[in-house]
Amino acid sequence: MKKKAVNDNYDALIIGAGISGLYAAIKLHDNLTTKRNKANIAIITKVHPLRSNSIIDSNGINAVLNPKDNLKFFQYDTIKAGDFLSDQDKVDELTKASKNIVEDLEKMGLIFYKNKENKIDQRPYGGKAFLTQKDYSGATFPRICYTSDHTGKDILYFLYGAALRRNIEIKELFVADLITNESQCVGVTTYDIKTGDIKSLHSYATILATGGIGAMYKNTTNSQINTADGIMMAHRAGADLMDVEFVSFHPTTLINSNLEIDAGFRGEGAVLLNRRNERFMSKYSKKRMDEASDIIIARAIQNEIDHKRGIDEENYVYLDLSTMQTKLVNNLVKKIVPENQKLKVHPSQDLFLGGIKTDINGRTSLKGLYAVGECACSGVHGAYYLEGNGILEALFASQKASENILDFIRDTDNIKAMPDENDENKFRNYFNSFMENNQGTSWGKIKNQLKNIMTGNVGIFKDKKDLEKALKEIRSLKSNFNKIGIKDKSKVFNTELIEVLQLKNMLDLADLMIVSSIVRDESRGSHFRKEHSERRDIKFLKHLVIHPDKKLELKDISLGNIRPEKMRY
Amino acid sequence: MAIIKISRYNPESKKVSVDSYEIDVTEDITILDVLLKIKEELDGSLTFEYGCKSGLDGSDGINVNKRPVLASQTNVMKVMNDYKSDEILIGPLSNFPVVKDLIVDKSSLWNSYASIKPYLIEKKLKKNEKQNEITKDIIHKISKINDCNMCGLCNSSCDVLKVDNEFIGPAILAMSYKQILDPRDGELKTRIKSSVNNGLWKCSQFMSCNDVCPRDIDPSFAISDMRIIDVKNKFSSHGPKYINSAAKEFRNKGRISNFANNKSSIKNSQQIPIIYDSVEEGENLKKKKLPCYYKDHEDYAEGYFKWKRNINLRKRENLWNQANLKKVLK
Repeated sequence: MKKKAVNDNYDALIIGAGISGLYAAIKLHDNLTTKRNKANIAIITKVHPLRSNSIIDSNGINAVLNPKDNLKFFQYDTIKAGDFLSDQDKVDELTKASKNIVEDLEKMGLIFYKNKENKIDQRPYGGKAFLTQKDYSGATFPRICYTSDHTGKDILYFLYGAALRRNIEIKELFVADLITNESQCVGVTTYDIKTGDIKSLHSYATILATGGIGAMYKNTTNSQINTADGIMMAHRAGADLMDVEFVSFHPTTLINSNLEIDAGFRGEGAVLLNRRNERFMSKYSKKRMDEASDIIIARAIQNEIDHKRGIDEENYVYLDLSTMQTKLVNNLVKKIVPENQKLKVHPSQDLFLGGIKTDINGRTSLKGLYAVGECACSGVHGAYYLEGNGILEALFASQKASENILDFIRDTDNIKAMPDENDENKFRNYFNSFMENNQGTSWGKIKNQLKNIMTGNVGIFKDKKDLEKALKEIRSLKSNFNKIGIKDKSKVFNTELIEVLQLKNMLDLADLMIVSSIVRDESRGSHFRKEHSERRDIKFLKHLVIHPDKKLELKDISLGNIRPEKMRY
Repeated sequence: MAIIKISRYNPESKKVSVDSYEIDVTEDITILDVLLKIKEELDGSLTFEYGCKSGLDGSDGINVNKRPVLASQTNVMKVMNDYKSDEILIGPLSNFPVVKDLIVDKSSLWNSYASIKPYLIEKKLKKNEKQNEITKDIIHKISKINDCNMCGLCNSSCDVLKVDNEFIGPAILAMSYKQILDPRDGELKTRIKSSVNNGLWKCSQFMSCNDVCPRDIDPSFAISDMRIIDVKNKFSSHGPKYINSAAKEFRNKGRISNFANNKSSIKNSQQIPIIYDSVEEGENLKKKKLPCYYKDHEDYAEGYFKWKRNINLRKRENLWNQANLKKVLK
């Protein structure tokens, strides 16, 4: 093997620089750095860390801090929110660790919002404008710790500062693929967007923290950088995926900007109206009306839109703020959301609940590869998620993974060299093939078709016929993929090439998501099949695992004391 | 129908050009939608940065009709109405080196962000000394600056940065201010001193940064407040010097030297807006002795209105505490 320069060898590489990537890197750095040696780790990210998708989170972190609260309540809330598909042993661990994680962040210097007793304030629901203390989340106790109405962003900036303080190496590179040697992940092949250079980096352990899949949908609260890169590169390298049929939708986001207008507004009296100016929620939830849970609201709005009762028969309804009883306090929200107005809202893809199958320590089924955050599926969330558990789970997994990596790299048996053959040339040729295709198919067209198919057929409502049609269409798009040609031949900032590489990942995942959606012939959490609008626990109280050879397998979940009960939303 | 004119730059051939596209627009369409439409359907080589469509990540800053905005937050119809023209000029942000088409090199922004140590450096506590408590008031102040998404629009609009690239720019000064606000931080003196070195007293308080900020951060308030801290603690000699010299000039000549025509004049007259505030007869200045912001005539008028508006804005928000100012002037 050609000897690599020292600076291309790492103890650990972290792909992605959102909250989970940064936290994992910080923990690894603190544990690996000794008086003599600095930890030999690096973060690789395709965008600047402060552009990560973590900024969109407005909720906060769940933690059991109040003596009146109880771990058991928290566990029950989490499992119920996930429609009982959560692995209960993992939920136990997560909930127990919640206090530590919040305290660790506070010790590091993060400023949480405080209550009158100068303790960390906890609210029942995340969201904007410090609007409300009413409970819409269905949680049994207010336990979301927050810093402001943009907690995700605050934590991201805070952790980036912590990474700067530790001088952790951050490389802005696009990861094209993982490198494996004898079924172990030993590094990554990177593409430098700024210069067009292709380079392989060797690492003993690799953490994927690449986030979700938002860009696959026409409307998403996510950043458009969420293109399923990490999920698909792990799958290509030989890792299992799990539960990819579960995609959550935020019920009310502004059209076009897809900014979340959270349940707080409805809780304070804002009402949903359709084309006929009806308060249509009365049809779907007689009791709770516009305060029904997000899942029900999303389905209701989508149903109105599907039946041409959207405003002007377009794909949105009104959220009327004129009936609100409370005044907005946050100026920024006021600027975006003028008072007493009818907002045009529709549901948008929000959190991806499936992903790379991991155990409690963030380990994937591929040796040497870890996954944390939204790209991973540890089985904690189940079929939907509890408000405030997203960041908590991401931080928890990062912490666990970094601890596990310490043991992993200390055992020299685990350390493998790079394979003899180098993939750099293969990628160079692959990239060039698109540029040489002068009269090729348009990637933009394929991308938009993908978004339409996913939004139309693999969205809030699914049924077998639509899914099968969608699968056929996606496969025909996939067969056209190699014919794609790109106009930009430049090596400097060839964003067109990046778009194409991301598109490949999204198309491949779309295929798997549709196949999984067809197999899961029931309705559970965020997955709703029209033919079977009820849960079918006997057959489907199971995780759906996709092996690298595309074989699907239903695997038992780990059940604990909490038995599945009928959901009443 | 909108005519979108985009300035292009090819870094390999070093060619600069303007491409024109005719695009059908509907009510809710934004500039980012238009750019994506062009990239996906008409010309894939058009290069620009974008992230989330809600304007939270700040990656999509560009110039629209020479004004820095976030592409995702700018409605096409509104631009056409505001400028009463179907033609929309789109270019890269100013005050940053252009890399390719609409992408600019923001490494200066990121490097200076790292250079101000944007993290808590805890105060070393003496025996029996307790850590300072963070009050709600401070949390709200910090939270306001935390709204910043580092889009760089303020830097792009900054008139001082235009002529003086040693100035660190409003975004980073606001970020330094955030660290200073934290009562647990033990580096107040170092932070203020480094801010002074980074050009705290170079800011001319035109407040164009406030005008363009999509998140209402108010960097100019951060700068004013840091100046007060500097003057109060006597960390640097800049404050009194500038204010006194400008005040003297105003008293003697009834006017203050012009801005921004060259580097040295900027350095000598940075505190003028403060003087305007402190002198009641600001009205008298209006006609005769306008500050000359720009070389071009058309821009001159724009500069004048900006100035007038800003005077009002400042009065309303009472950015400078009059009492403090009088103390300094004595």
